[in-house]
Amino acid sequence: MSEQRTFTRRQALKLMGVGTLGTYLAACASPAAPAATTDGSGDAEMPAGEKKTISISHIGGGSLEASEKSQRMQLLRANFPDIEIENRWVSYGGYLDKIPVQIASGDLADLQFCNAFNDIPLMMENEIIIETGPLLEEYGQNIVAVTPAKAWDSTIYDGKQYAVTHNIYDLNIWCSQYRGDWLDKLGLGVPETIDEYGEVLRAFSNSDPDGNGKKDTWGRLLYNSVRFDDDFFHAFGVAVGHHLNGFWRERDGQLALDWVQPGMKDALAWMSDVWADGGFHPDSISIPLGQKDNAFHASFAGNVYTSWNSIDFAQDKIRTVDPDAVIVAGPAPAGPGGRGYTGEGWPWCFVIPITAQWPEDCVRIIDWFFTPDIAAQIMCEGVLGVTNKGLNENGWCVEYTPEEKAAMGDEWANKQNEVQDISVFWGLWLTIGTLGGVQPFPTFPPDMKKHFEDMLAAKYSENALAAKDLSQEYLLLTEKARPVAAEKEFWPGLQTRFGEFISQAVAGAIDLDQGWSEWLDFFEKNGGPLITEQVNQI
Amino acid sequence: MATSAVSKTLQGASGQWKRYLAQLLITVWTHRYLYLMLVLPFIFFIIFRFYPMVGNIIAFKKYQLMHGIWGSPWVGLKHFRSLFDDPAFLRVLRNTLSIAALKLLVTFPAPIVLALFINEIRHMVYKRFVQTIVYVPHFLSWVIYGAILYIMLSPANGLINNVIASLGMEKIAFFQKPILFQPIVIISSLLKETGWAAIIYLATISTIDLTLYEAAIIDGANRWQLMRYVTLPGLAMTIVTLFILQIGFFLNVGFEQIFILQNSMVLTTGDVIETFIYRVGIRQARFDFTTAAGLFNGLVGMVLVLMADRLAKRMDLPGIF
Repeated sequence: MSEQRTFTRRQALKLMGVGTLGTYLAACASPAAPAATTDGSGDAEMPAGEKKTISISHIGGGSLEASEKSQRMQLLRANFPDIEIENRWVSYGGYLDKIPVQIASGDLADLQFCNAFNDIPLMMENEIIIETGPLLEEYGQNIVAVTPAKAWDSTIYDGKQYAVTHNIYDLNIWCSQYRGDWLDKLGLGVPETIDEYGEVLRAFSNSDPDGNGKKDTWGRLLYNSVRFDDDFFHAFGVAVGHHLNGFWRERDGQLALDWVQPGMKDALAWMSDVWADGGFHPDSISIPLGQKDNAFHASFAGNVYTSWNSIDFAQDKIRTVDPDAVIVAGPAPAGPGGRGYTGEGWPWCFVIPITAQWPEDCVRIIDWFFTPDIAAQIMCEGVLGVTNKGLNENGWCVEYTPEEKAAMGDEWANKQNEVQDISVFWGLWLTIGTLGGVQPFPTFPPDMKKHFEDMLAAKYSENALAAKDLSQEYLLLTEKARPVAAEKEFWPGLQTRFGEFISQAVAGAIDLDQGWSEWLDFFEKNGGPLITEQVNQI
Repeated sequence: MATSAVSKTLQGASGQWKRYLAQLLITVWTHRYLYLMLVLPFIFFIIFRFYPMVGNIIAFKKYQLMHGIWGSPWVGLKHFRSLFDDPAFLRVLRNTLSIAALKLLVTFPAPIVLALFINEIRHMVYKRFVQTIVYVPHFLSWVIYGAILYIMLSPANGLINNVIASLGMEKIAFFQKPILFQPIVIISSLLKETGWAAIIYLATISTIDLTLYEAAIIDGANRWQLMRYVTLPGLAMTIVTLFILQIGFFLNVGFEQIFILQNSMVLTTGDVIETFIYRVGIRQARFDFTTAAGLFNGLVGMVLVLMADRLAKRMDLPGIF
């Protein structure tokens, strides 16, 4: 009878230890292979019979599958038969996380979509993108012709340009919108000043504007961290800046951050008063950002600050619960510091990493989108021939008007369902400005330009177009051109601390005077002066 | 003379090593099929658990993409110094420790108690109904569960606040009060995961020898005494093992849950190491700095596991090593 031998835990642990150590040593012994790089001169040669491969990273709704099926992608591939287009779609919801990881891992596409304010400094620090100025001069004439000079500011380092294209229309699309029917019932007009505005918010909350006898309405729901509520901050001569990105203005010949100006304290005191009077929805600040417009759409809040082009959609939505609802846009409320709506500026662009083998072709591809004939085919919303009318006799796309959509009834809903993934996809084409509605290029011939201007006019209600004008009229942009080095270390801490401070101050959770001095002290001790110094050196 | 002694010692050691290796090989061959089954999990752990650990080295470097992990310059303990100089990190460390301790104290024993109670239910249909009800929340993601909590606790029209108002009290903005954040985290964890965590204890209870219960009943034990002197000792090994394993994740307080529930008003008590790493490491791409934070997190976990293991052995309970 043989003895049953057992494998003890001690032996197992030793075996695992030896294996782990061996693997670790093996890993240490094999340094990461350097990535293949190019100097951007485009000297790479293509073996006969083989296609060049160019990967494009871009963001959008829908899915990778949907972007693959889209007419735009098919058109792109058909136009560049000698190039294998590798589609690297990134979801709109995930790009904030995905892009830094792509940068850190070196897994960048040949045409890499990014946020100029957040991502280019990181790429510059790691020296992984190429200068694009000379390439644009040679291969990107259509891009250059339609891009405003100011758009490039965030991509220029030491006088050199590091992006191949930008969103060509600034994202100045926000304005204040009100329940016009509630204002009428309460005998109030659209507010012009910050005091009138405060009264409107209080009345929406406390005077039963929906007339149901219940206390179930509020003035406005503040967004998460109060970071998207710049309309009333500007009345005090300051702003938070979308996404807590900061807002810089020239003061005494120097650029200074609004967050530490006395007007900020005044704005917070004003908001705190309105909060105490019940003017803001009690779920404000704590509610997830994704639900920011819900209270307005559900007819609980009478005012919202959001993009002008959502006004018709919002009205339709509210009319499902209140058939008499009317939405009107208003001017930025004026106060002691002025008035304004914050524009996002030009955050989104494409860059070319040093790993790209065919930088000239990358520019050619993007430039192709900007040629008038191509742009006129792809700039409409919807899927060609399904959720838009397709191309007219000139080869220019045509959208359905709201009346035509309404007349289609269920057929329109079916069309939308049929292509829902594709219709919400605008990723790669974001840069040509479809986010703010179809906008003709300055390089379009007059008849083509008129076609798209007419289409834009027919697409929105008068109220929406008035809102568009207001959002343009009160536009204010931060004067800081681009991020500076010190921000990487200090900005996250400042951003978190400031967001925390203003939220608590507005809700009256802290003493404003004490909180304000603590915040100023934090700013002084945690990189604020260094960032200010570097911003003024740009 | 001395040389000869050293040589003999070395030869002895070498001989011992050879014998040990031979014995090991024989053992492996004897149980070859068991080892074969281990190969795939072992490869998985090597590739996805151990190899990535090599990257921890960037906690001691200024990580630059162009130069890679190995080519980036060494900075010694700079990131650790920055970490402990950062007032935000000290706050997240304090919050993490506080939430972790509360979770350990409250959510670890809860499933044991629940399992003991469920085990006492004699009506089988009711027992299964209760089990199902307490398992269900586990299958909801924190996104959904968090949204339900927001709706239930909303000061505008939430169910809980409506009850509070109907009792004549003032509504409470639960998610705007830093003092309430940690209790909300603990209670929501308790409600969501206790039922699921009780499964393993219920399974262990089902393996306890029934003759022990019969003997105790003959000796005159009542139900409470059966639970105290038969069921609970039968669970001891499982409790200790799970406790030590949980201790290993002591500082991992649950990113998803905290991230979903926190907002800028409750960061004072709600910002934890995991959300800090996400915010600074991923969003701001300071991978080297936050790797230092992660490494610190892991080291604390390892030390706690070793301590818990040693403590268990001192109490004559089985450890995990």
